[in-house]
Amino acid sequence: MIQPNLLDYSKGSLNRSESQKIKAHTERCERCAVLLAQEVSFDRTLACLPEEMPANDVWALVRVRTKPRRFRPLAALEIMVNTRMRRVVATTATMAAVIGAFFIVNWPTYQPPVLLTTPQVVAVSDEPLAQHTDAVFDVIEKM
Amino acid sequence: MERAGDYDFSTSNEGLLELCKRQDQEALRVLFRRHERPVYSLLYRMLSNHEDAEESLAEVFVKVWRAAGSFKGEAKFTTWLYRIASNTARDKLRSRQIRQEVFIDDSIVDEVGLGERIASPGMDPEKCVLIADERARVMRAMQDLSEEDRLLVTLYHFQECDYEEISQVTGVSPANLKVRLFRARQRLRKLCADDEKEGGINEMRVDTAESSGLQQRVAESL
Repeated sequence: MIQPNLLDYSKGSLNRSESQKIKAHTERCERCAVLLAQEVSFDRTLACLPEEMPANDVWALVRVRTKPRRFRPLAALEIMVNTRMRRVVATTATMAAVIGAFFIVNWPTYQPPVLLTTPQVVAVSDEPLAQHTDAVFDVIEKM
Repeated sequence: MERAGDYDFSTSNEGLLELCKRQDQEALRVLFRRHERPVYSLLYRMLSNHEDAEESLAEVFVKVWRAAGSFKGEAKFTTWLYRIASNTARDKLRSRQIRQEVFIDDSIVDEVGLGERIASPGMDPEKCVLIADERARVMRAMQDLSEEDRLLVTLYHFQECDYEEISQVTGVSPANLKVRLFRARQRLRKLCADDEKEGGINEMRVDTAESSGLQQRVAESL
């Protein structure tokens, strides 16, 4: 790989063995020697070009677009999403969504489960009441 | 929250970004002032239009503000910033293609103003014109390069990034980077040479047309 390294060679940024290899090659290969001169010349041309500068103050535009809002109820959520908590938040949100969806779908037909054991019927004796009735009749007869 | 002026330009980029996460706009302002020139330069070389470059510059720093929380510190801040800038420039180029805008090249329109932009007090006016001419030629040639080639040349020659940084910004493997950069540079050099030839031919045509016009006027007067 001689040609892609020619510019680095001219800048002295190659290691010694690579540098020697290219030096030896350019001494015997006229084509690469010409290419080396072209690379150096073109690199100088590009380096001489001035740095570009914005004509207007763009900061004013950035400032308006990034103006912090005083009341930001979702700010905490945004921060959480941008941190390591996002997996936990995502999992919890998914679980809540699934559970919520289950209840919404089943709500109209939802009934509490029926108990398998039948409730015990307590037999109520009418005996005390009968005794009471007889006593009342006795009192009436004596009158 | 810290007030404006509580920290200065000696604060590290990472420290300022940390403050941006906490909605500190002053920190963003310091970051902006520190990096606006190199980022603008990259955008202009990619887009060849000052208006688009300024609009994209604002977009880049709005993205920095919004994505401050996603900066992990695995790469250098400038690498991260250049990646955002190059993606913004690519998006702009794509949106231009979709809208099929009538694109007016600044290097053609603004050639008169180039000398004024470049000129500095005490600089030889002839040299100013030569530099402006060279700059316009390179900018025209840059437009004929592919997006990838343009980005590689810009990062290496204008932004002075090292190979590792360029590899991280562009996603080109370090093994292929030198070869691709060499080829991109060769294409650019050829385009510049072609442009110079065409310019020379056009000048000759103008000279010939002017002289033939003069000859015609002389013939008419006789």
